[in-house]
Amino acid sequence: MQIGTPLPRTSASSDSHDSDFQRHLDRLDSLLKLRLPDPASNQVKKHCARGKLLARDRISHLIDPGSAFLELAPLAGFDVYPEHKLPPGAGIVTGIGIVDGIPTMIIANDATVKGGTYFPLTVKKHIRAQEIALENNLPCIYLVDSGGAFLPLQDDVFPDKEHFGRLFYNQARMSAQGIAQISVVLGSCTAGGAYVPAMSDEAIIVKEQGMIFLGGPPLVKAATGEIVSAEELGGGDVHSRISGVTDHLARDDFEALHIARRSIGTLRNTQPVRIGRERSKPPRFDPVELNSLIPADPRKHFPMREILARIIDDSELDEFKSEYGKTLICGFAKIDGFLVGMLANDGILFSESALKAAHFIQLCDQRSIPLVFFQNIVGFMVGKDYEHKGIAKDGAKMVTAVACANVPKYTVIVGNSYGAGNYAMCGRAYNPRFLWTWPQSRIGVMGPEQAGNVLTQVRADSFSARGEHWSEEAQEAYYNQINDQYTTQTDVVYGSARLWDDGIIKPADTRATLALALSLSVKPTSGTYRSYGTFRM
Amino acid sequence: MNLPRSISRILIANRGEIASRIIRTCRELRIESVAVYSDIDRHMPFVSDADIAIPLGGTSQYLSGEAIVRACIESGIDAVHPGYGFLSEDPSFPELLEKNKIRFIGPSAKNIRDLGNKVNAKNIAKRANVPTSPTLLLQDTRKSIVEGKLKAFLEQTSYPLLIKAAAGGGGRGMRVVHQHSDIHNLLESASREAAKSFGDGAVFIEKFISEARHIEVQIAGDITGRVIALGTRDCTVQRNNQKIIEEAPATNLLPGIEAALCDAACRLAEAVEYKNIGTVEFLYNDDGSFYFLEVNTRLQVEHPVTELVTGVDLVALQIHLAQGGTLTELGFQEKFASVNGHAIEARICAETFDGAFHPSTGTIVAMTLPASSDQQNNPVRTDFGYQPCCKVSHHYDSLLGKLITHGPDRLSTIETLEHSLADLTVSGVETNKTLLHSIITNNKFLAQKHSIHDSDNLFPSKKDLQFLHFLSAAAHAVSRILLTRAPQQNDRVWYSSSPWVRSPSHNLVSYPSLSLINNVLHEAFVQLESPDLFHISQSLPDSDTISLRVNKSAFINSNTFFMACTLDTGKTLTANIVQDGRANWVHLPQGTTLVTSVDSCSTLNSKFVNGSESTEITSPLPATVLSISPKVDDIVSEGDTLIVLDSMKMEHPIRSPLSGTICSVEVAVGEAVSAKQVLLRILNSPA
Repeated sequence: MQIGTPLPRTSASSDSHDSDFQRHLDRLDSLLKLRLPDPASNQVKKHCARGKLLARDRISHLIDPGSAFLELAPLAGFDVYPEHKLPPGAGIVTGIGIVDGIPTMIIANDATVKGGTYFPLTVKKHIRAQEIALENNLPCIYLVDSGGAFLPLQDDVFPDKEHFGRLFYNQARMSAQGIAQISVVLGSCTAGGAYVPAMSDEAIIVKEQGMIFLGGPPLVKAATGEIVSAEELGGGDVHSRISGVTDHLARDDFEALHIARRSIGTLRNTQPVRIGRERSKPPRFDPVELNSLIPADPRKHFPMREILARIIDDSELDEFKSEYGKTLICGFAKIDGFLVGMLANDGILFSESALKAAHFIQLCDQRSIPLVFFQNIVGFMVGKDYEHKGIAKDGAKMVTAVACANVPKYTVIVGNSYGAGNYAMCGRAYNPRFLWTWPQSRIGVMGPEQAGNVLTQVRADSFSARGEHWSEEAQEAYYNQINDQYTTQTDVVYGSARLWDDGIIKPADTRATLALALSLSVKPTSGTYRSYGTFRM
Repeated sequence: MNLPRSISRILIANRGEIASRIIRTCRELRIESVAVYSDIDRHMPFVSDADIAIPLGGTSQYLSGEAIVRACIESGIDAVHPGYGFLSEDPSFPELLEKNKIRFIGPSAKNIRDLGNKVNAKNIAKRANVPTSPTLLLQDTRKSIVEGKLKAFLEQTSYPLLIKAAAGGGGRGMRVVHQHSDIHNLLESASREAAKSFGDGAVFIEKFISEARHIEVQIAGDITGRVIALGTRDCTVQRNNQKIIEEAPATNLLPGIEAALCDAACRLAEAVEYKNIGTVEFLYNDDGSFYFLEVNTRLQVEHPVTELVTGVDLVALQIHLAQGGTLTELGFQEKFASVNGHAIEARICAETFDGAFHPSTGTIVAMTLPASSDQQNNPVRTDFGYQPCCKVSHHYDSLLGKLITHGPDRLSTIETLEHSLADLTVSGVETNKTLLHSIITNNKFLAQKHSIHDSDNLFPSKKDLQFLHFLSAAAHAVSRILLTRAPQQNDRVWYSSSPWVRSPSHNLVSYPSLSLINNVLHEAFVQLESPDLFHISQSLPDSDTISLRVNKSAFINSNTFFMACTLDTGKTLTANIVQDGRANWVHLPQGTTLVTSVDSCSTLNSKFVNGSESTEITSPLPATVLSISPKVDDIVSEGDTLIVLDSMKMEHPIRSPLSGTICSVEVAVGEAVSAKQVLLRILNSPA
């Protein structure tokens, strides 16, 4: 059924939405600009003077010129280490591009940012990219130009499970699964970093530029007294001729990237079958109108059907159980020709909505249809009636269905994402293949006002339990403090900097972004044994 | 001299298009052809076209009579065709051949000697009652010697004056003098160039007539002393005093002038008993007056236009006359041959035009010639000397070939030329295609309101070039996106229908597509307007934005790529793009542009952000340093001549692009420099 209605041509309220929303878009643009190299900076000048390409330019030479690049977590690390002034991106560019026709995960160090060293969030971003590569069966190319771990923060980089060591664990596991691991050593590659090329299926190094060693010349001198130049110790010639750590010696960046392309070109026979696609039809309404549909006040009605009408093919939604559990829209739709099961919030979750979702998710799983979640949820309904009816049980069914569905899942947080609603709607913990956020969205255990009220109430209760007085002013100050803390922490940029998402996207780009991600889905194998058929809930 | 009547084997002492052209007639006449070639020329078509090819070695052996004679003896030929240039107008060459009992296809050595010297030729003309203008011959151009003669000459005439080499043609050693203060410098440089090109530093001075047209008459004389005229040619369009567009017949002359010119030309030829074919050149004024300029005692570059309107194969005629045949035998009953329709020739030269002309050298990577007739069946002739893989070297003339069209009248012939020029693409070296297109579409040219010295007005304006460059940068930007996986295009079907074809929201970075054209940076913004249409826009320096749309369904064939561009005006053009390493040759109907990719930020940095305040002056072409004016620490002003280079037998002054102090001179006089080699460095003067 076709959904959506044309926007009134001159609607005063939507104009105000628009200008309000423009603020969010402008902030996003200005932050994204910060991740690009500044041609005037000394690091960039020095880097280029050595005849080296910048990380993004390397990628542009690696991918097919006509292909898009799906960049991941562009704002990672922003404002997380204020004392180190790490720019957004955390010194690494990760993303998916098409290399000689094959979708490939590219992980590129940016040596112009802190020498390409790994901050805690650099590690997290690197590992997230590997995880995406694993889930989507994408060969990985590592464009290595890094000084290794950022030593001042070693305790947050080195020892734990999801720290530096995981990079190599992942390489080994992926290679074992037949997911190609290719390294191009374009700069230094020291200590632990030396294992990136060493653990790769194929490694390329640039002459008189790429360096691989477990310990650099100063460390060697300190350890054994041996005096050796960097080139002599671990230059391209050494590793291609003597040690065999690398397989190809390239004259310069261009040649190295060309060799990497040729290498990816040999993977044709290993490529999985990806999900099918039908003829794409644009939505009947302009996606740019999304900007004026998003209410400036998060408490105002969020017109989810109008939103979907500007995302899905031909604005056509085959709704499932449209008259039941109406606060959650479920239905089949296509996004750029890819058939998906859509779940989109249109109010808070009640028992019926949760049951409907559990049913629909099982249905999609059985039919191997990917799931797309559009989150705008403050949570499940609370209150005596609902608890008595066992809303927790019904919520659990939905969460179970989400957790256990084998089909690829994709989540877009388009508004608020609070509390258990985040879980039920496939939040980060439920392993969606990708999770994106809109520039005005908020994520948290609860909203800032709600948190302020709840925590102030709890504390007021404890004051009164002790028989103490808590002044109005003190209460207000406390409320404001909590509200401020939550306002900061639920801000989408705060989360994106910490890799709670794979990137903030503009509403108008959502369809294209989802299409890129969906095109990567490996076709789920049919006939997987399930212990029960679909439960009618 | 007792020579066999019939010639059966001819050696062509020349190269390039004219050698190929002569071989063609030899083949038609069932005469064997022998080519001689230098090392660089071994892949040229004329070498493989000829029945026999003899290497001369080196680069300058085409000028060596002895080397040619050795080749003649080796190959056992009957006659030598000199073509044009090289030895064609050196009277000692036919004499040398005669000594070795080899026939020369051309006029007698005496003819060449009498007419080859321009001053002598003028005297002959005067005696034959052919109008001439006052002339001053200077064997020696030193100031002390010139002073007196000049004073006397200036009593007969006035500035502006024209200096010409006494021995040569083709604009070499030619200078216009507007004021007395310049004359000595210009005389010296003209004499130096003349000595270098023709081995004779003698020059002469005559009145410079700016509004004149260049009209010439093709004549032919036989051993009986009979001379006929084969019509006129108009060669008014020139650049650097060299012809680039020639037409036959000369039209828009006052009544009776054509006959008067032909008559005068014949009188002159008869006076010297001219044998074989030649050209008598005149300056023609609007008022109907004309002056004798010179006689070219050889086959002209522009001979095809005469061939097309008269139906006479001039090379065959030369061979016939050289073996002692008469004009009557060939059926030439009338004194003036009749002409049919109109013909026009455009010379395709390897050169760049950025306000000035510089030869362009390199290897031709691809070349497409237009069809041999247009849609109305008007013939299109292509006389080309090069093919892909041939090297265009600075040792020789920049002429690659000629495009000649024939039609019922002047305007339709020009239109045919315009279309065939659009179809002609040369990739690997820059050509004057843009210039030619501009000339033949210029209203002044179409109305024949141009003169020999104002051809500059027909050249493309800055705005025209800017627009062409925009189109080229835009086509280049799109090709970079579309030329994705050529030549191997596995999975293209999957790819072309995939969401991964770049959408504006998923560009890697927000840089525009950057390219360099003539060292000017172009920023083109490419947007996917609909799934099949790119929209490309670019801001111009005058803050205007221009845009065009390119259909994505482009056609790719090996390294060549075709696409349809639609301008905002609705006009559609086809761009043809040839990849050449990291650069693209972008061919549009109105010209060809070499566009080099800039690798966004990285290249930008290394190329443009180089903190140094000194400016490097580089050589625009491979050349030899002839003279260096300033020394280190000298102060120079913008426009000052810094260095004079010599390349392709032409002097190329390198002028200062800015005012400043010379901080280093990197080359010495006599040194051979390559293109882009740094010549000197200038420190910008603080403003």
